[in-house]
Amino acid sequence: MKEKYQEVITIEIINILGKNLATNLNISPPAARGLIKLSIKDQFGPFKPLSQLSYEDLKLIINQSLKKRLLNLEVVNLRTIINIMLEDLKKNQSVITMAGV
Amino acid sequence: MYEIVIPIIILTCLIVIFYTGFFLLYRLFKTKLYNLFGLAMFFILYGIQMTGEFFPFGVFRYILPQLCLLFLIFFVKYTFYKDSKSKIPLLVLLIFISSRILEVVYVIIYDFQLPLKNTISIELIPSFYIYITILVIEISVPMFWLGYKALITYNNLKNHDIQPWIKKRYQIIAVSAFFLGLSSYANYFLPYEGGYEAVNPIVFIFIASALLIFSFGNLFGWIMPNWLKSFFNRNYKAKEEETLSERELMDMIERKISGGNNNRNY
Repeated sequence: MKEKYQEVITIEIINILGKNLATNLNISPPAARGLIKLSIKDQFGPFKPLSQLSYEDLKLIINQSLKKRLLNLEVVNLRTIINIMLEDLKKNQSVITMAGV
Repeated sequence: MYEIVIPIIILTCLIVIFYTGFFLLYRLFKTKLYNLFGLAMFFILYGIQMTGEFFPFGVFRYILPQLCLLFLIFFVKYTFYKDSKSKIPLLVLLIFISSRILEVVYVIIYDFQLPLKNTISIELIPSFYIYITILVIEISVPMFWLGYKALITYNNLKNHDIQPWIKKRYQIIAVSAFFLGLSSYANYFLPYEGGYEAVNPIVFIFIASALLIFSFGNLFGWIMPNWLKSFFNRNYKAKEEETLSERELMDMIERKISGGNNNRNY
């Protein structure tokens, strides 16, 4: 039970980011969350626990691995989507702490 | 009556506040959320400052009071304002530092200590109220700032599908912060002499309640037990995740993005 709540740290911020990404790409929220999780794996490998991702890590993921995946998907308005996601992360950054304590 | 009630309230709050502070310090090392250092230090120093009620001299009198708020300001800055161009954190810090300096100057010159034990002369009354105003600004600005940020973020997250206990944590922290901020205004209603014994019972009940709400609010806000989390989550349904392989997921997203016309194979 304790572990379950600890994992919440980054999962909740992924939910928030995933919702916006889903709207912007017109895909389902679970698919958007899956895309973010794949980007996390691209950036840090499969062994980094989601609960150890910081604000800076998430910023890096959006700017690099997620951007690369969206580029490969030939998404139009790539820069706008990345900026929206970075803004969203900035606006809701406190969730990382609030869900993580 | 106050002689018994005040130490009991202070002692209860002290235990709760220290426990919260040391728990947050422990969580800092466990989670590597380094911004928690500011919050943990805020509670620990607040607790030490409260012990000053029993030792009203030296460091407890001139250095420790309100120093904890400096750490709270850093916590709010590094929890809510990373990468932000907002000038509000700097403004709050400047307000705090200048009011802190003025407070020390007033304590050194006039030797004010709340609640006043010995009566003050009539000509000192304006200075006394200036001193209280300085204190009110010093305490309420950082506390209201934290409360406001917690409330604004809660409003942003209200419609997001995240676990309700996290949203509740924002609300509890906002309410606790507002109560402590508000309690500083009670200083305006303190008597000119007689110490705690002369404090109006309504004012006393307000200050004591605010302190208890702040202490226990933060205890349950930050150290939320799992049964309480489960209670807040009672109507929450966990989201279902896609159980697709990477290739299937990417293929599905690509088809969606290209309007269903993409037949590319991975």
